[in-house]
Amino acid sequence: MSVAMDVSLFFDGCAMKENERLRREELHLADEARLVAWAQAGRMEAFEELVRRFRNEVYALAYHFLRNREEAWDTSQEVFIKAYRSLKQFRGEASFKSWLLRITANHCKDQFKKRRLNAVAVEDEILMNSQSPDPHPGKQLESKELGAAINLAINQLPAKHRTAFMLREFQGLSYEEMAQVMQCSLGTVMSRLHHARKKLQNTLKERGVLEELQ
Amino acid sequence: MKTCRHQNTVEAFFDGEAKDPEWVEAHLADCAVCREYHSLLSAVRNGIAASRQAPSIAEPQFDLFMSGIAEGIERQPRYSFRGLWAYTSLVTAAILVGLALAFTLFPANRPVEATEIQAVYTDYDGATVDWYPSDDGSTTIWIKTAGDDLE
Repeated sequence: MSVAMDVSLFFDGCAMKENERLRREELHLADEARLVAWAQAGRMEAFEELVRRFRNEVYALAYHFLRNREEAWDTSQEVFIKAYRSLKQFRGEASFKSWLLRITANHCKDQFKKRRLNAVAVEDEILMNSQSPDPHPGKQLESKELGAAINLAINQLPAKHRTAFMLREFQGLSYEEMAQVMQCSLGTVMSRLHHARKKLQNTLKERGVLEELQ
Repeated sequence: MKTCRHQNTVEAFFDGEAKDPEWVEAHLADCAVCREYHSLLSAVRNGIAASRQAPSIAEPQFDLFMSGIAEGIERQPRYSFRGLWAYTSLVTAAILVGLALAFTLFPANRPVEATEIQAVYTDYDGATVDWYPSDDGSTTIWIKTAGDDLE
């Protein structure tokens, strides 16, 4: 009798594991729209799959704004919490990624206003770079200095120009995606990007960095 | 730094968004200013690429990352100070507007005005009632009882 029960429990356990595996596979294969619909219906595992898919985009953008890994980590979590609470408001007019990046950019801008970034932020990046071994240390030092100079120049850009520049150069978004994230027209995207690049070039030129880059 | 009116188009070309890339290529061959601008755009992009490390949340860290989100979702949303401040300001403004309207529409010590009196009468036995319009627009209603007494 006891053996029969053990066998039954064993098969129940196997069935549960198989169900779990199938459920994960279903989530893994589901497209973005379906996952969003499931998440909106309250399926937490669907939201978790969305987090899994877009965590790096959100984290990278937060990091490029804040230049600090810990803050970027916390901010990314806050962005996903905010997104979860606002899921019902997402109507699919833009892609889910654009919507998430919009929340991230706005959240980071608020963070940025709270504490004006300065050299400390760049130090974080230099520290990070110095931790990774490089077969060409001289070259790495050069690129670190260039990176620090570029980051300082980016941090001096007005918020809207900085967002445009980051979305294009760090996130590789198309103009259309940028317009969705920044909630503006394509013309405005191009204008902000153009001004950002011009200002950046001027700053780098003043510091003599542009010649080194060329 | 010299400029050319086609720099925006060159920029769109640089970003892979030009509507007519062949035209831009031809223009770049002719225009030294735009060629220099294009090379500056490339230089900055290369500089970023050389110094950049794309941070990521690796798969082994995902559970930790997700647990923080799950905790945050379970917590009640905090009311931000900014939201509270906005709400308080709105309520205060509404109260002030209400008071201003009340004082405008119902000023204190305002005389009762009758626009037109057609008739006055009383049910008291022996009492008489009369009215007299004044030059200032007000009206006096005069009630006279028997023995000048309302008891």
